[in-house]
Amino acid sequence: MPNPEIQAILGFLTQPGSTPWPIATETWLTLCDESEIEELMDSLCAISPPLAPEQHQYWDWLVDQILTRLAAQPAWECMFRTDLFTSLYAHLGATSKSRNQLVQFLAKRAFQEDLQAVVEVITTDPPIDELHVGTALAPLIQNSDLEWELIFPALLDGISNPTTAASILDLANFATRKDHLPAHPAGDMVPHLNLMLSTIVKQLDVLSETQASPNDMHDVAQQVEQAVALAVSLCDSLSLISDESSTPALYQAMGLTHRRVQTEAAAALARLGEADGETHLIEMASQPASRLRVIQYARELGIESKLDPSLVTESAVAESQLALFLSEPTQLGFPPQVLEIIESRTCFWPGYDDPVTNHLIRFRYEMGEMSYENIGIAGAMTFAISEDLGALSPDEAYAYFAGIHAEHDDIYELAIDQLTEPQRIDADRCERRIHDSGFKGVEPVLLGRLFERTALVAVATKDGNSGFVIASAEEIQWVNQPPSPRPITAYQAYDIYKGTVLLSTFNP
Amino acid sequence: MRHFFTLRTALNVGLLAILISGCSQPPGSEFIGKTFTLNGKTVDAQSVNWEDYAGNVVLVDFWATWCGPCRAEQPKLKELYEELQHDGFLVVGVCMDQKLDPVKPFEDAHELPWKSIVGPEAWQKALDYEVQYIPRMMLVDRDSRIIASDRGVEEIASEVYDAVRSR
Repeated sequence: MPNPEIQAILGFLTQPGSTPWPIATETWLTLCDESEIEELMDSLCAISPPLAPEQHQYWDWLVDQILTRLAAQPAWECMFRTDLFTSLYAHLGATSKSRNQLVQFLAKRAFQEDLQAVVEVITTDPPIDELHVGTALAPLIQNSDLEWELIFPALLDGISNPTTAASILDLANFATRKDHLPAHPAGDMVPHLNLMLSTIVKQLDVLSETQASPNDMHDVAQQVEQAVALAVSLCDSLSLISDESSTPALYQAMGLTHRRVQTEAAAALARLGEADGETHLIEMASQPASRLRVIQYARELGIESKLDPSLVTESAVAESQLALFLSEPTQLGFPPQVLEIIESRTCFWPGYDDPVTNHLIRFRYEMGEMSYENIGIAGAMTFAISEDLGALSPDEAYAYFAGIHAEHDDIYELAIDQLTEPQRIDADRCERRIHDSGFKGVEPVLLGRLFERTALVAVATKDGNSGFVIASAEEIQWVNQPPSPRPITAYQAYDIYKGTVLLSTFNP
Repeated sequence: MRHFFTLRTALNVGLLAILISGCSQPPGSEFIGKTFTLNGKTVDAQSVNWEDYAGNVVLVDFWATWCGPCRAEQPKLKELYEELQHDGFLVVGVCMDQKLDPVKPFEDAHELPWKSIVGPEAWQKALDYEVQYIPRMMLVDRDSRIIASDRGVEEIASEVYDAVRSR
């Protein structure tokens, strides 16, 4: 007898618009038998492609849900056929933004046929972009018992594809560095790698000459990111292979203005015995965004003692961590010109058993007449946001960073217009406390739940100053918010409250 | 997770502006005036013999499927080829792919109307002409002498027209 839930899902997917989305699907997927998931996957593959573009969101959601369900147990306990995943992967098509998770599952389960399938998919029909390829391959690095000979050299067939090249080389570099392989698997491809590196270096050089219009800027920035990632991977590969014929290409790479590429090329040249490479590598420690890599390479090469001692202190490393974070393509994409530690504090921190030292760091970008300044953190976490934290006291800033990632079923926020009646009563009680405490212009924004505490966050004024007031039965907290082009939000004010409560609980 | 997209976009203007550019002689200029020949096999094992090209103006395109800038040049090269093919202008490719699987599908998909040599002969040709990066285009006149070398169609097009008209 056909499974009614599966039939409802198939009905929706095959006749969009004619039937409603089966809203109980999420619950069903959580509770159904594994054999029903298998049946669903099989049935999904039986739907004739191509998928309608408007259907992709539902397919992506289904794949997410299926894999979330499968993740509830160790991957190796799932006995689904490998081809069930590869068929669904192929079925979803090249533009899918969820299908990389299917490869990721196979890479995690790592049965022999899974690894063969991973190699086949990555080399012939890879996920949509570099990020998705990297995510798909990531579990291989975490598997200490992996049969690497099933991965390399076969995976190198994908090295000619710009989407997969950097991830494949990174994986090969990892396996070589960890002695999982007797030698670098691309060792017999040195002329090809040299040509690739020189070509990428030239491409970056040309891109630097490109006067990008505002319309093209995103594309150019994306090309720079992709080229830099590949150049970095190539330098590391050539470093580990250590063939003298790579020296000219590596010198070209070291001549680029991009610090990350310079560092990798300098390290590779140092490994090849080039004195200029070693000198340049040591000098690169002065650049916060390069410092961590330089320290790592200096250790590998046994030249750590040549580093300036002031650049390997805990605070120098913290600056480097924040600079690297800000340089990520998903953040600002390049490091700030100025980094300055404004306070360091050792205390118990959410998620840590022992006290940790955190550093609040002021960073500044200066671009002609334009500048941008803010405060980030390094230590237990490395993080920064675009909203202006400059007006916060150190206590508030630490609290904000402690509170921002606090996740628990009993920690949540609700917009003031979404409250149930009992929650409305709680909110009214908190609001009365705010008025009674003399705050003016009170406008409630959200109600937050932090374990047993319920707190209302409201915009308000105090002594003529604007800000946020957070009131619970236990306390009232004021967060001053002077005028700023990037003011913090009520939700961020609530993060400060959460962090304040958590830190005071952990550090009585 | 909060990101900095808006700010980042604005600051990238500055990033691109501060990347330092470099200028130099066109790549391969040192080979101008030297005699050029080329022999080899295509990815589907057809022979490529220089005798079939001699007497024509020939543009030699060093390229690879993995090379984005090379791929960007090919439509422009195709346009130039289609314009001048009946005036004694030919193109021959030197494909620098190490793994050859993607070459044929690429050539078919892009309907490249010229042949490309692959494999050891291609790599040797790159070594002979010190091709450190691609794309590289070398222009050979009707007497099989190299008369120009540069990295793209736009840079070399005027020499192509001059050579074709000088028959």
